[in-house]
Amino acid sequence: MVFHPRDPAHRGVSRRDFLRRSLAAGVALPTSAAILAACGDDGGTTPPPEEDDNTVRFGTLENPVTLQTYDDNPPIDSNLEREAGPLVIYNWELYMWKRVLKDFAKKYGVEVKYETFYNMEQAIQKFQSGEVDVDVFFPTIDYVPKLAAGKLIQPLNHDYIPNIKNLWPAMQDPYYDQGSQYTVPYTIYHTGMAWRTDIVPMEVEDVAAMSNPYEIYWNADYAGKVGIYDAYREALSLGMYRDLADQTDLNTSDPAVIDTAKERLIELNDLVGVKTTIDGAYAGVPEGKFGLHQSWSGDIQAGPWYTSDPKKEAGLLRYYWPARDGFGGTIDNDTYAIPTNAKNPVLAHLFLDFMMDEFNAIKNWTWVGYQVPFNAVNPETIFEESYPGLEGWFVWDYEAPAGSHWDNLKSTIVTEEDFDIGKRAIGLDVNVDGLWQDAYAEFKAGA
Amino acid sequence: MPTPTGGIVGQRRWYYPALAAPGILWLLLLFILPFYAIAAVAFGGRDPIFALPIPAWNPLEWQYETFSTTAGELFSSSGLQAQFLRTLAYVAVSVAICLVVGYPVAYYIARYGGRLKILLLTLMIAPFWMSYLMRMLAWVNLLAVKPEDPGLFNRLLLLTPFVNDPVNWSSGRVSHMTVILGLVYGYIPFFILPLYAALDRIDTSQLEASRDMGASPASTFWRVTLPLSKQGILAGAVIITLPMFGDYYTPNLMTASPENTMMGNAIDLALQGQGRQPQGAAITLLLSAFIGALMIYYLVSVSRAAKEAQR
Amino acid sequence: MTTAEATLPREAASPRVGRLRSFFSNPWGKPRLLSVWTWLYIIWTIAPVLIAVQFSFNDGRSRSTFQGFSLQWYESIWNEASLNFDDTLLPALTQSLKLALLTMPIATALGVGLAIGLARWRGRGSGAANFLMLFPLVTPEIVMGASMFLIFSNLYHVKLGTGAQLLGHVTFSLSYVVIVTRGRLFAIGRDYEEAAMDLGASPAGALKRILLPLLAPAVLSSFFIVFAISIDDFVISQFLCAQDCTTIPIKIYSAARNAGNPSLNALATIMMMLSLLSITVAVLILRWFNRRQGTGRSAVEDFARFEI
Repeated sequence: MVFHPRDPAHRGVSRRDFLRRSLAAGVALPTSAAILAACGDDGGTTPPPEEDDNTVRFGTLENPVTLQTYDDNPPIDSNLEREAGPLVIYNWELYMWKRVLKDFAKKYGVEVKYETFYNMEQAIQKFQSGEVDVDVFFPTIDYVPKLAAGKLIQPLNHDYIPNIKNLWPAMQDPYYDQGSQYTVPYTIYHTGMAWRTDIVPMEVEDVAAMSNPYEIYWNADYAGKVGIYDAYREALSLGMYRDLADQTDLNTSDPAVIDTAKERLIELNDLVGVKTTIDGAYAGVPEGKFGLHQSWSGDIQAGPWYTSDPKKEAGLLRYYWPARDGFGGTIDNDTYAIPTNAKNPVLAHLFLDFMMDEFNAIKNWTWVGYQVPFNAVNPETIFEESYPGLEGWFVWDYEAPAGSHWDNLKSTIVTEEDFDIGKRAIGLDVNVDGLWQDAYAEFKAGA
Repeated sequence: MPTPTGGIVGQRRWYYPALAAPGILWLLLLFILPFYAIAAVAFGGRDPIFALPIPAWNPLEWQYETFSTTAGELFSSSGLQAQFLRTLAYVAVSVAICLVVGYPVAYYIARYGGRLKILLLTLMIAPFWMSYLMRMLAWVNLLAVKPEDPGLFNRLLLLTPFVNDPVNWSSGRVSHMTVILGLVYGYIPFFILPLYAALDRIDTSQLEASRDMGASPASTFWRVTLPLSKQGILAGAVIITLPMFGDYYTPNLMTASPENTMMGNAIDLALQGQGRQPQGAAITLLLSAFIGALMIYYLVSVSRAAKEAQR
Repeated sequence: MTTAEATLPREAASPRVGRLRSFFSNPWGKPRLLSVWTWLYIIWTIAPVLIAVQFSFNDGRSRSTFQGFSLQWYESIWNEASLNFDDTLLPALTQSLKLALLTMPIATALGVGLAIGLARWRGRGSGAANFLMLFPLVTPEIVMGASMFLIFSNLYHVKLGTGAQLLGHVTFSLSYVVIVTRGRLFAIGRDYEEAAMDLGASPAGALKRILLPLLAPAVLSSFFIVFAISIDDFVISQFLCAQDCTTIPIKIYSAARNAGNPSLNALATIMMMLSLLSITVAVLILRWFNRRQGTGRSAVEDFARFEI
């Protein structure tokens, strides 16, 4: 089976063809295994040959991984004409600024469409079923090796994306995709806690002084006002940090540890009637619906915008990431990737390069609230001095008293060093993942 | 139902089935067959990379492990069982409230609507034109408690002597009430309409006859009106009960707390989860079996009632 | 309540002496108490809707504190220069309307055919078909949505999007059409048709000339119902959507979980207004039609009579 990289439409048809054939054969395995089978490889239980190694390997900080590339899924050639578009972007709601998209549309004279998904699992499912045609996709890092092994994303041709040099050096060569073969980083964030001092009367120092800052959630005084993310990895990780603030393995396959984390969450539910939300951190806490919420740094950074009166309330917001004080803390980044069946792969590359232009990236950050890992971002100064041309655009400047910023949000800035101390949640083996999800489902059942 | 007159049907035997055929075919292909897809997923496998479901279309290849584990959970002390029992309780209480609140309304419109009948019916139908989710959100905002604003509903309650502190509607025991309020609010129009139809159909001469024979209005109601509207109550109950069993957005929007999740939430979570679609499909099958049993009970009781009426 | 006086009991064609007495002895016989209850119920159902409408005019971003009157959230739907302009709102509105308008004729045609067929066809299989028809009515949407998603993506290879959503909406609303039409058929009876056929008309002729005109109100109310169901559907639309198919309910739900702003209230209000407008027009047409035909029941009543 030969793919011609310059004919993306042909790729789409071929993929559909595979699906049909695998169905006809009664296999109905619309994944790489089926693709292998359709290519005349038996793809059964015997280990596949070297060049078609489709086992999913997850890199870790200690053992970074270079993802396998495949002859039948090559990058596009250099120096191709760009397509006419429209460029279709598939991302979370509100996770990219429309004005930056418009800038791109203007620069290249194409239409840009922004399509959204509700969560990663749903996106992968629809994406993988071959029923969506998009040009740029935003997989979380745990999915990157799977998407590569499933040949659902294409290797990048770095000739089109010279701006990658603007990224922090470590980000150009991440552990989950050495050499950025399939992906480039989008935003970076850590998972800490956000609260309002008028509901949870504590300062950052008070929380840091606790023997385990994560115990802050387990406090009946805040009943009905506490929320965590409706995301199984984040929620169970919190349960794990509650027991072992500093030596938690966020990728454990030990059922006992997972079970204890689940019990902790159930306790939390009994104690405060915890809510599981998506918007609780960036909107719920600023609006006062929540007093305390698990929070990605980027979520609460946008907080001032969501308060009903920033002058009164933005100063009440607090954010704390325990890892800086020797406790455990999660850190992560999101990525861009180009699907194998993208109709506009050249345009998609140009888009990636456009978004890795410092100014565009930082402009996007000012609205989204999620930081970008660029050399031009000096964590020491960006907060006070802003970026040339974007003065006053950042959310921490939103309605702040003249000549100042919402200093209480400075801790939401992610530094390069944070990546040395933060723990990372990597992709899990299907069965281990099942343990995590079942535990989370049990918690969500409110038993 | 009118009785068939053999002659015409006999002459044009094909004509009416042909009229019905497209609709039946549509339902077979897009309603019945998809159920088979659920079974194929529940009894199927998963691919090794994304853990997405591989449906087993051939019943000979079905694997029953996931299904039996899930069914086992339902019949032992587990999260799923807790959700099922909670769903039963929510639905039972909601339907009871719909009956208590809705019966008088349907009765009033059917019997005393008079010239205002069309207006009343229009108002009754009016909520259909505002998005269900929007109506839920309207309540969420009315009930929201913030540091400086206890919410409109609380402000009203605080004016009464019974409530001194703003109630946090979305947590603790009250949260169950909040979800039930949401369910009742969302589904009650669907309960009232079939009930109204049944009440409207009651021949007033029967009531007058009862009265002429000396029955008091109360006993006329208990002995004539209520029994005659029983099918309407049942129809209304069926039409709201069964969809409620699959609801997940109402608890999600009203409280977003694990304390209030229903069966639908379990299905939703499993279907969204990586590799948990077979479990989701298994829960869906179990729920469908339960709902199917309720529906069959209803249909049997309807046909029994129809037979009694013929006698 | 002043309206209570206006609503004389229907059976009281002649003044009844015992009315005052029954007022006290029979709790259900008190139209006054019942009328208060009914109006309270109506206020309870409608007030939150009106409040949601009110917040569409809010001058602030809050959906719980009213900060003054403004049209900014309406502008955010179509005015590109507006501060809160969101270019996904108008496409969501168009998508919702497009789906509803496409679903209406298909579901109504299939449903009316099915209803007539089932009501008149007494052969083998009609019982099963009657039985089958009832299930979509009571099947939780999540079950239908999930099952269609699974079969579309695994067997039929229907591309998720407008087409898939349309199939879903028709399936979901079909039974409602059957119910409404069947109620009307039941009321009409078979006399007219049989008379026509006795005079030599074929079933098709009788259907076209006699039955369909008599069924017009039911067809119209089916249109309303299908429109209402389609435009309000969230679960099925969501399951069967991949791209270019975000409807308003999907937008509302994702915004509810992703901190929305009053532009959604504005959107929902516009939809409500459009619906109300189209219904008013339809009801007026129908009234004119009924006057000509002399068939008593109104479309609202047809709608309200949904019996299963």
